[in-house]
Amino acid sequence: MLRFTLRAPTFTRALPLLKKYPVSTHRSCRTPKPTMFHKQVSRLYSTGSVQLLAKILSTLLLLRPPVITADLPKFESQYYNYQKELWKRLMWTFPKWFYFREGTLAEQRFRELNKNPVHNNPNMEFIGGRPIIKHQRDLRFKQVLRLPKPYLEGEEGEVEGLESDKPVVPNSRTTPADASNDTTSLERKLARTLYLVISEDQGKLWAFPNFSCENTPLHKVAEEGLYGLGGTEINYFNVSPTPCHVQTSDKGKEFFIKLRILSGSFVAQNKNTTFKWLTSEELGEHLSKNYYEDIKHLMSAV
Amino acid sequence: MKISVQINPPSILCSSIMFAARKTNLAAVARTFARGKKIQNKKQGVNNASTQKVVNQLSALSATKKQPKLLKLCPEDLIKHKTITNAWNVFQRKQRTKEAEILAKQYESIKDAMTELKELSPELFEAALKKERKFFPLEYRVPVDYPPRNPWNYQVKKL
Amino acid sequence: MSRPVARFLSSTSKARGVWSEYAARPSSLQLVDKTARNELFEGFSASGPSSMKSNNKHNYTSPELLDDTFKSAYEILEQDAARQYKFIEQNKDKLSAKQLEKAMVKTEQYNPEVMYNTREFADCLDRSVPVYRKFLKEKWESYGQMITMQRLEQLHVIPDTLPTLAPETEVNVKFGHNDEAEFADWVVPGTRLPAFAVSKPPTIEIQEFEPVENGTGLYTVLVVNPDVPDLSCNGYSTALHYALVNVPLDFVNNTITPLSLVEHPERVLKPYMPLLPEKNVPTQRACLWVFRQGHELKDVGVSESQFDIRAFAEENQLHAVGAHVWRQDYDRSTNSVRAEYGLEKGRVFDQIRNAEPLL
Repeated sequence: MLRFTLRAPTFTRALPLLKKYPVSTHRSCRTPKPTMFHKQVSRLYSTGSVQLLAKILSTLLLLRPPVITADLPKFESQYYNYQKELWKRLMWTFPKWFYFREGTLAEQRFRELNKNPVHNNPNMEFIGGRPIIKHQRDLRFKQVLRLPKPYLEGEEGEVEGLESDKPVVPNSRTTPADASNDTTSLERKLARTLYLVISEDQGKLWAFPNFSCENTPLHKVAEEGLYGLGGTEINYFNVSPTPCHVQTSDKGKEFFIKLRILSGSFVAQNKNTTFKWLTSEELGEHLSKNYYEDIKHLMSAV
Repeated sequence: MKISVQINPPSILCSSIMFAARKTNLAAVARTFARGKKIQNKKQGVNNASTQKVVNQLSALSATKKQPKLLKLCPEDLIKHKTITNAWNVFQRKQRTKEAEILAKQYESIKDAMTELKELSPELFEAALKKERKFFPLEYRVPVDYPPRNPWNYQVKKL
Repeated sequence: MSRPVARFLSSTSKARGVWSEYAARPSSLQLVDKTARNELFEGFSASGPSSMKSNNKHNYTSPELLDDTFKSAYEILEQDAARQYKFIEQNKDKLSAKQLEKAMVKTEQYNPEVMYNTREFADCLDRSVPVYRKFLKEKWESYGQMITMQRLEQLHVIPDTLPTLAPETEVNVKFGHNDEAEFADWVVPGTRLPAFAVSKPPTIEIQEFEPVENGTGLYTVLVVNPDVPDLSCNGYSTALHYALVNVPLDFVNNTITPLSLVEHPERVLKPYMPLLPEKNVPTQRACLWVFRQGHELKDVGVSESQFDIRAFAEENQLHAVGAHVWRQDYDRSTNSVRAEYGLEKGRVFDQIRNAEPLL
């Protein structure tokens, strides 16, 4: 009884702050420095009753942030393209006399790429209306421009010469790891956030890495546990020491700590350990249904 | 005798000079009378390079002859356009409500976790709230449209 | 020039969505013009959009990517509407009339066919359908309601007859017996009309937009003139010119015609008598008030001159929902209309110079 009455002020002071700053609790909640008396009390409490209440576990949610931009839903990309077409249709004529001075080589190259439209010839019949040409642009339609570039556009076979003359072809958004569906690779599904799950029994049961926690802070346990499980060749970033979720299981209370992997790779140190990098949907297939429903909101939609 | 009324300001770069000149209608018809013969440039009286440059600069900004025709839609197409806009609004509203729901859930999760941690172990609770001084990692990249040649960096050297 | 043809609503292929089903939905939700419907969903023919009147329509070009984007947009909106229909189906009993109306509007408000109808065929919309009523209400609120309220206030109909009005119904008045185009149309509130133009009873259109809770569906219509010169008190008194009671109206049957009153003479409490201002009297206002009745009226007596509209409304539990006003002066047809109604020649008022000059 005494413990509770003494501890009450800090408890009530911390909570309203939590409510006020929901996103960045770790930054804004300044708890007052514990006094000697307070320390004493809390030690009493922790040594005495932790075992009685429940075991504290630190669960690691290691995620690989997306490397490339998200794939747009069909309607979204269609809408953007449509708006772009409208925008092009309503755009002013390109003032080529401003950018390409007459008589220069650049202007000549520009003229070669952009042929003039057919002018409103009174002796000709036009299907779809007579053209309205101003500054060599038909004002009824969008202006399609091709600008001379220092390199060749698109795939046009082998180009000899300077490196800068070669066409620029962007890399594919899918990788070999996607083609072979290698779930242990960090290079799969570049557009999605991937989460690490491990299994100790050769892939029968999958779970997030779990570490029991004595008096070390939760995030420290998770970070050290990660090195123990996957080796020290991992560069991670922890945004906050605050747990983002608590889940009650038969082992105890699992507090979720989110870490982001930035470089390096997870290499299982134990022979029995197998691991996978999975998207939030694939997690649903590997975890039990109720468990997944409880933690689904922690996963990124992208 | 040669009568010269050519106006040739040293370098007209400032547009205000241009306009002032236009008002007096001198630069606009900068003409040279040579033995009574009128020599005039094809482009309305601009016969020197620096003036031509200013004219080019100004015409790049002006809308004259550069605006396309108005977009006039027939009733069917107008309805189609409105439908697309409506669908976009519905789509976005749905996304926003979904995001708000997830955020609210995540906040509740944090709150629950912290309340339980407080009950279980005040020490860990204190540690979980402790503010650490840390820097945003330089290795953290913004997503781009196309991946680099090596999509993932396996080197752990911290920058 | 080839036009992309999007055939996605053709009846032969694919499962049809909620917006193509007319078993449970009223057929008036379909686009009235069949050619336009075809063109909306399947693209234009080579001769261009038929709805364009100009000869230039051969040269018409749609914006690029419009058809494909429209197809996806239509699917998204239709799925949303299907969800809404399901919600109504499940909660039919729990929803109140107003909530149900709102939900029904949500199902159809983005349907392109409905949008087309409201845009192009606004005069012949089916008023039994909630979404069309909502559209008509918005249209009325954006113009008709504002005009009416402005005239009621500027001409001091409020508060000379009733203290105030919260308009809920659209009220339109027309004198159908007129042949001249000038007077045959719906009367704009506040117009000055000659005596011959108002000599016969008017046609009154009263449009409700939303379902009334605990409504009897009965309406009272009064026309009063608050500008009758009263010499005894050196002022003006109010006279009743027309009174209809227990008129049943709903969304679709919303018009009171003189003919319908001939069939139901019991609804006429006081037969129509036009305002016939006497010479040199200031402009008189004919104020038409529409009331919702709380119950059916029986054995109501009215005094024609010295009529107190406020007391009458209070006694009979009448709730004012709409009003209209037009004005009249003495003109050269007044005497003939007076004779038509069997009245003796009107008085002629003169200005009397005061003994003391004003200045």
